[in-house]
Formats: sequence, structure tokens, C-alpha cells
Amino acid sequence: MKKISSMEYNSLVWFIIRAGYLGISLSNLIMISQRDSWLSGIIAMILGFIPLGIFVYLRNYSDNMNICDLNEHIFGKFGKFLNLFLLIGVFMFIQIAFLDMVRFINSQFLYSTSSILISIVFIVPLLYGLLKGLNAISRTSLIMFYLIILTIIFIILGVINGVDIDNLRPAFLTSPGNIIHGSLILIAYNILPLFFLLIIPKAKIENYKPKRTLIFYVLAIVSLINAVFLTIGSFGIELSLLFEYPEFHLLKKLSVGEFIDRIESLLSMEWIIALFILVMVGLYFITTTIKQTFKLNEKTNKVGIFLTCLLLLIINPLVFNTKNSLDEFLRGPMLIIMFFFFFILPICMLIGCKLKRIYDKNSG
Amino acid sequence: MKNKIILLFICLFLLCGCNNYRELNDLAIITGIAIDKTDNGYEMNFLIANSPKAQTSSKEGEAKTTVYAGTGKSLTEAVKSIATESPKQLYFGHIKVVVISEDIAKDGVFKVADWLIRNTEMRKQFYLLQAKGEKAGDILKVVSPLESFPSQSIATLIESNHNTQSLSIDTNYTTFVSRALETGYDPVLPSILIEGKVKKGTSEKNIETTEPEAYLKLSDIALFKKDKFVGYIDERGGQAINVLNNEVNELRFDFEYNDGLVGFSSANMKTKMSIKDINTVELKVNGSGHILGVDNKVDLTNTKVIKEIEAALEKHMEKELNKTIEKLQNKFKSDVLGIGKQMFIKYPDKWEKMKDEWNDKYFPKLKITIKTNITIDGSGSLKNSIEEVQS
Repeated sequence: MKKISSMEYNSLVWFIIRAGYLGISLSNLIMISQRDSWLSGIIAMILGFIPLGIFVYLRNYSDNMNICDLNEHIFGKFGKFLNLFLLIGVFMFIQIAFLDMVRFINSQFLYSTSSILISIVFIVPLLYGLLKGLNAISRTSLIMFYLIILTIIFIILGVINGVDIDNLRPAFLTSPGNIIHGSLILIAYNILPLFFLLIIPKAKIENYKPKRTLIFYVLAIVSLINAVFLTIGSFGIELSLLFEYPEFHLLKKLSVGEFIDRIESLLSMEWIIALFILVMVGLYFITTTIKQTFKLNEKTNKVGIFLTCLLLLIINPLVFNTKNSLDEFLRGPMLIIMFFFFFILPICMLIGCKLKRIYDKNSG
Repeated sequence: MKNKIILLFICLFLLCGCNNYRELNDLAIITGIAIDKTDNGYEMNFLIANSPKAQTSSKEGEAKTTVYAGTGKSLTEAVKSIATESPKQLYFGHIKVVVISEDIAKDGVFKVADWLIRNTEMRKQFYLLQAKGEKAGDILKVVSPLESFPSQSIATLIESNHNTQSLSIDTNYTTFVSRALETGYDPVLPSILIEGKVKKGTSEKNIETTEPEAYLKLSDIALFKKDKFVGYIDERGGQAINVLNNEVNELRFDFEYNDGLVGFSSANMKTKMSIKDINTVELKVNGSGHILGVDNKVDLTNTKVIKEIEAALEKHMEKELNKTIEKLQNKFKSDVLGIGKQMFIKYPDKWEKMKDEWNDKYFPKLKITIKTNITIDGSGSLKNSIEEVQS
């Protein structure tokens, strides 16, 4: 199989970190950390090095093994159960991301259109991408990455003029507990999903260097902190709390040279693409794990991919009737679920790797 | 290959459009909204662009815009009533101005704000104005000689006035709501009135004469305490508020010097607010500008005279700014300068105790000192005054 380039891999890192921003982490972060949301962002970036370090270690453990192989290698038969267990966490998160993406489009652009129809429109390219494989996914991601960078520069140029630094002052008014809670939200929904990328074995990435991943990680988090800064700086905390998608309403203010405006729909594609790529990588994780665990052939694997997408489509309208109920879930139970699946379990895997190494060394 | 064709075929059906698809001809594009209070609720007027006729109306003599009115206990009901009159589907994505009546403003803008901000179709960047002594609905009906749509005419009026004179306030809806929600900041709105007879202004004949019988005019600035209207301040007060809020693009005014008037223009006026302590605030106004006109004998080539003019200018500005601040503090008790916000930034703990009584107790007692430092760096196309040269 053809390898994916280091740049393609890092563009996936970028999108996965930025995906959870719209509707998942930002509104909850602002609600909890208020004016000090930027501080939560900085703390999240620093604390985020811990899970990032764990993921880099697990990736570097072996060249040819992905996370499923690694679990089976370390834990034996129990590893298979662990892999299937991990699927639950991944599926839960991508279900929420998919729901968020569909709900955003439904509430802000296509309010007369059935959400099922919008879901189908996205499921078709997801299915196509998964059938095509990792190379198609990563190449799409890279093309989109260049496009998105231009979009972000455009947004910053158009919005920065309306930022009032006083809207972010005074600092440190929020309780330390809330600031930490806010940073945990960012870590859970923006950094921990990087675990999904462990489904790609190191050998499949051409010229893989953790240092590059680190650079992309820092850039993506800084871009998120910048988005928080622009949103609160432009609207003030009161209005930011009032809007359902403050980051989208910010784009409505965008005006470059007073002749380029009314382009919020075009620019908001940035988040939709990021969420789309996150869901695609998540689905790739699920289908690859199922394929490896049950040793499916190509034909049955395609059926598996189709059924997974169908499940995503069916569950979507059945969960969370309102954005508020989703937000409550994201601030509470989902946060614990995310840390359990993508922080506690990877730590167990890391300990397992270390013990396995010691055991192998001792047994000669 | 077969699969690809099937997939392409499915995509053709899925990606060809959606339920939200609407033909432009089927839309009634609303460009302005007016909200008045009635005994039982609200009256709304929608200014709808008569787009197909807008291009040919000058020949055919048809109106380029249509105003639909509807009433209801709530805004939603009023909109529903308009929807039953309009043959086309109402579209809110191109609203340029929203005019509210004095009654609405006195009652509290938040009562109608929710509907305006919740609607996802609206872009929230439209201008918000208050009708002064007029029915808000009438404002939208007055046709203007220089613009096709009254809504566009109002928007242009605000923009040009703000850009060249800084007499009016350039407030869009989001800014108003944001300021009204913010702690320690009260919002302001420009007001508008009809000069002349309303009935004559609504006819297209109004624009066929060189001297329209009715036209729209920006009037005093409406001051608010949170979302409730508290009073008007004149245009000079509006100019002072713009200076103190750093919202000046270009400023032009006259001041007295040597028994005559000197015109002054500045495009870089900046104000810095410093909170000295909980009771004292200092406002420093810095800037430079050039002389617009002199109506008596003044030797503008003499540096000493220029220094004297600068001193007179600073004195005039300090007097005007103090007069406005005095009105804001004692007459209106409206903190449109955001001093409370700066107090909150500097003394967040003390602010917690003050915030509920800020407007009525603490803000009026605040000692506000103004310092100006204005320099004259040009005298336009002339080196000296004509009268000086003549003598």
C-alpha cells in the first residue's frame, strides 16, 4: 500500500485538533471559563503535551503495528476486547461530532431541510472516502489544509479590526476550578481525539517525525486560542454567551476593505470540513479495528463500512433533542468518558508497553 | 465503473438542491423594518424591495419599494399578519435598517431585541435607529431623491454623516445589544425624523422635484440606561460622545477666536481614559487638524497666533466635552462612555458592590477631568486669511 506523506499526516493532526471547536468545545469553554477562556486555552496547550507524549510513545513503540496490533501484542487476547471497547468511545465521539455538524448546518443554513437529508449528503462522501482508503482521506485532508489556512488568514484580517481588548479584561476573575474545567474541555474534545490517528502504523507514514507533529499541534492550539480571543474580543462575554454559535456570528461581522462581506457561509466551511475529516478518521479507526479483529476479507469489510455509516445515520436523529442537552452532556459525562477512553486507557497501554519491554528484556 | 455511475446518479439527486431552495422571484426581500407600539401589542412595517420594478420604475412610474404593515400581540404575530398580505415569501437576509419608536425604546429594547437576534436569516449587522417624535413606520415610507430605497437612504445618511462630521452615531444592532448587556456601559442610538409632510414624502412625486417636500433627517442622539431610553442629547453632544468614545472618523466644528469664527477639522482625534481612583477619572484628548475657514482678520503665518488659536480650540473643546459629561452625569445618568466598564477592569472587587447603583449613585458623583492637547498642523489651501492679506 502506498505510504502517506508526513505533511498529509500532520494535516490530519491539524483538522482533528480544530474539529471539536465548533459547537462542541467553544460554547462550553466560554460558558465555564468566561473572560478567562484564553487562559484555559493556554493551560490546555501545556497540559495537552501529556496525552500527546503518550500518543507519540505508543506510535514509536513499533513501526508496523497500529494501535489494534499493539493492544493484541501487549495484552494478548484481552487486547481484542480492549480494541472493541475502544470502538465504543470512538463511535460515541464521532457520533457527537457528526450530530454537531448536521445540527450546525440545519440550524444556521438549511432550517427547512430535514436533518436526515443533510446527514445523507455527508454520509455518501464519507462512505466513498472510507472505501477508497487512507490515502484518499489523507490527500483530501492535505488539499483542504492549504485552503483552510488561507481562510483563517482571511478571517483574522477581516475580524481583527473589531476586537476590543477591554472585552477580555479583567483577567483571572473566573475561579481556578472553572479555568481548569475549561482547559479539560479543550483537551478532551480537541486534543484527545488525536488518539484516532494511532490506527495508522508508523511505517505507513513517510518520513514521520514527532517534531513536525508537535509543531502542528502547537499551531492548531494557538489558532484555537486565537479564535477564542477574536470571538470574546469582538462580542464581549455577554453576547458571546448569548449566541448559539458565537464563532459563526463573528464571521457575519467580517468585512475586508468594506467590499468583501456576506461570506460567512463560505468561511464556515472551515469547521464543516474539519468535522467531516474528524468523522472520517474516526470511522476509519472503527472499520479498520473491526476488519482486524474479525479478520474480515475485502468484501465483508465493505459491508462493515456500509453498516457503520448506516448506524451513524440511524442514531443521529435519536440522540439529544436540543443543543442545551448536548452541551450539558459534553460538560459532564462525556468529559469523563473521553478521559477514560483516550487518556486512562492509553496510559494503561503505555504501562503495558513498558512492562512488556522489561519482560522481553529479562526473558532475553 | 458500474458502482461509480450508480454513486454519481445518487449524488445527482442528493446534491441538486435542498428544501431551503427558493427562487429570487418568489422572495419578498425586506430591506427595512419599523416597530411601533400599539395598545394591544406591536405594529410592524416591512419595507420590501420591489426588485423587478426597481430597474424600470423611473420609466413606468411605479414604486421601487412597498411597505407592508401588520399588527399583533407579539412580533411573531405581527410578522404572521404581514405574511398573510405579502404574495411572496418574506426574506430577512438583506435588512439594512431597523427603526424603533420612542415607546418601544422607553419600554426597553430587549423586549423586541430577542426576535431580531434569534432569527437565523438576519445578519445582525443592520443599523438600529430611533424615530424621534414620529411613527417608526412612517420613516420607512419617505422616498429619497438620491437613493432608490428609503432603507439604503437611511444607511447612507448615517455612514456619510458619521464619516464626515461625526455628529451621528454609527451603531449597528450587535453593538447596541452588546453594549446594553455589558457591565458598566450604556448604549446610544441615532434618532431620525421626517422634515416636512409625511404624506407628501411617501409619494414618488416627492423625488421628481428639485426641492423635496419631505425628507429624512438625522436628529439628536438617543441615550439609554441599559436597554431603556432616557433622553436625547443634541448633535454637539453626539459629537462629544464620539470623541470621548474614540469613534471619530472626521470631526468638523467652529470655535470662537478674536470675535470671529474659526472652522477646524481633524481626522485623528484620540481619547485616553485613565481611572485615577474610584472617584476620579481623567480623559485626555489628543489630536491634530487643520483650519477649515477663518471669517475675520487672523495672521495665520504667525506661530504665536497659531498657538493662541490652539489654546482657544482646546478651551472650546474642554467646554463642550465638560458640558456633555455634565449632562450625562446629572441629567441622564447614562454611562455611554463606558467609565463603569473601565472601573470594573481596574477594580473588579469594588465594582461588585457598586454595579447595581452605578448609574444613579456613583456615576453622577464621579470627578471627571478633561485634558486636551490639540495641534494645528495645516491651514488648507491658503497660507493666510483673506481678510488679513487684504488689510
